[in-house]
Amino acid sequence: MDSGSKLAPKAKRCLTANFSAMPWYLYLAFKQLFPTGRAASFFAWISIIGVALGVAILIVFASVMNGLGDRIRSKVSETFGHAHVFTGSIIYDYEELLTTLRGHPEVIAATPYTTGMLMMQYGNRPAFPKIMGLNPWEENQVVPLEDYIIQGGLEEFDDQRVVVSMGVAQQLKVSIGDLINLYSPLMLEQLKRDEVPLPMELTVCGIFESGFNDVDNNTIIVTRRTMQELYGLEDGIHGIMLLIDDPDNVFQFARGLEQELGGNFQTLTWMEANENLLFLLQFEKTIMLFLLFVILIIAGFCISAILIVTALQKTREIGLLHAMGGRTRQLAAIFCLDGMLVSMGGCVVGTVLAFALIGSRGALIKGMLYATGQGDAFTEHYPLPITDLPVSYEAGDFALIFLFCLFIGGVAGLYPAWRAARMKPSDAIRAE
Amino acid sequence: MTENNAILEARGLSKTFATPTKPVQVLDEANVALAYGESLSIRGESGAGKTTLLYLLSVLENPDSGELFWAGENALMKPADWRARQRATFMGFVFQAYYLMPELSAVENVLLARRLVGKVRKEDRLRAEALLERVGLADRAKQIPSKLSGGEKQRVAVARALMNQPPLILADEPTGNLDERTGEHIMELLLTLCREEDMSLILVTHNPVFARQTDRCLMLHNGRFENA
Ligand SMILES: Nc1ncnc2c1ncn2[C@@H]1O[C@H](COP(=O)(O)OP(=O)(O)OP(=O)(O)O)[C@@H](O)[C@H]1O
Ligand SMILES: [Mg+2]
Repeated sequence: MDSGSKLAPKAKRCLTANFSAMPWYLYLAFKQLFPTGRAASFFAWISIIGVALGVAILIVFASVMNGLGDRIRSKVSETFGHAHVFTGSIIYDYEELLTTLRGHPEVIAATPYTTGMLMMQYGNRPAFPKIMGLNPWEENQVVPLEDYIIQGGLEEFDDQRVVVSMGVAQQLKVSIGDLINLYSPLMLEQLKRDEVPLPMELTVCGIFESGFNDVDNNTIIVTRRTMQELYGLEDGIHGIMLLIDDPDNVFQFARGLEQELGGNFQTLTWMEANENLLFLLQFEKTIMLFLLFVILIIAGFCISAILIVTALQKTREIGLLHAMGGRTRQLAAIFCLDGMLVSMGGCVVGTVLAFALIGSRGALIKGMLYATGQGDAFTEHYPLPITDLPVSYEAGDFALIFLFCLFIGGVAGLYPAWRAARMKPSDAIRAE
Repeated sequence: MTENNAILEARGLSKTFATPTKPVQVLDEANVALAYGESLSIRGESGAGKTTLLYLLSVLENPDSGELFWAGENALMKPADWRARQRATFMGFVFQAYYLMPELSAVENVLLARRLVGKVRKEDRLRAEALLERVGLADRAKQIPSKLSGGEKQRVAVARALMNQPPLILADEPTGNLDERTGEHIMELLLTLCREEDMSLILVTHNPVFARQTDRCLMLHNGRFENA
């Protein structure tokens, strides 16, 4: 097309024009890195690669931390719901409360729950899991239990059956169809009254894995009725769990709800319930980013060292530029700009490198973990399955990394710039 | 006031260098004046202070005492930025060792002189190319200095000194590092171009033959000028 052929020379003119308008010290800083007749100077390559590695590591790290954080956060809110409403004691006539909550404009789902701890036995192996009473066949489910089932199913789930988490199943070596015994705290009361408590016998009908290790390690689920029986709740419940529209504003929602409900109703949001874990996630990222910034500082020292050598090598050129009418601060600017140009180059190359690394992360992680022999330990202890590492990009991280990098580049150029500025023009020209 | 009809005038210029053993007095109340369009050669023994004189005249080195006038302006009383600007527009340098920016091509080196003054315009590019053609390097314009011979480099340096059409050229033994024939050629070029473009010239040289081709010859001896 002829518009294209017209555009090409126009673009070219534009480029040359900009180059002509460039201040001479920026032009020379640029030429020092990319001299005429060569792709780039040795100095440029070395320093850009150094900065790029630092930038790439920072981006990869921040994005993976975001990804893991997001996944943990989403699993936490999935298994907990966004908020719990409770009174601190048993709630008996909850139908009206449930209707009110389900009618609330911000509530997506509301489910009654009962929860506690008990002792569980299979053969001669005991376990002390957390127990929840849920009726997953009802409408309005908060926890997507159906999605978590990895063995068996919920079709036959009733008051004589139990669904156990992956961790419990492995610990007790139970499988579908096995009978297990449950001893509730209520039975302790019976013991105190010299009665002989009989354990409750339930059949395992399903094994689930939510992806959140806190839950997967040690949880069993029975029907609400079974739970009410185990804990002597009659037809009471412990509280109601909620999913809401806007989980990020859950605090506001919870405060509003407490006021609306009045009485002694309390709320607990998913963020409060997992405060420690969420804090740890953020803290971990901050501390690690802080430590990793040291990499950029090291890269800065390398730039500085190379620029100092360059400034010494260029003594005569500096003298020449004085004679040609360059001002001292403009001459100094060449070296600061060099540092910043290297940083910019490093940011661009580093970002590309980071995306390449993130793109092939599966293979890289496997290789790395198994090469160091830590693969199994990692999969076992990390709170999430590591098979596919999640990543999530945050503009703020990029901005922070780029700005810091530019800053380091400029600072790295300061000392060489000062060295250049300090040279006496006549001495510089005379230098051999 | 005689400075008004002189492009450059120095009065009572003195310079003493402190050395570990004893102070070296290089210039001792030296006086020199150059008229517009005049060419002046300065000779003197090695170590007489010829290079130092050029640096003092361009205030790349500060004199201990004395007065200096650039086209009537008292250069030593002006701010450093003003002098930097004058070095770019008012004078052009040619050094003994050809001093080119190694990362720029021949034509870019010539254009650099213009860049220090301001934006590079189309006509500046044309002038740079014309100057290179004038010094006989039209076909080597895109070459980088490391691929040029000594004589070629010095010709680029001459073109660069002339780029901004400064009224004054300061040349410090421009042929010192070249063989005789190349040297003669460069010198002829420099003298002709200065005459063509109406520039004043101060030429420091050892060679009496070159010295005789300028309008006036001075000898620097014991820190003062003597007529040769
Ligand atoms: N920065 C300095 N510190 C101390 N002494 C200096 C300095 N610069 C020059 N000199 C001395 O001043 C004297 C004059 O030097 P200059 O370079 O001006 O001589 P010149 O006439 O150009 O000699 P040549 O013909 O060999 O180039 C020399 O003795 C030199 O050692
Ligand atoms: Mg000399």
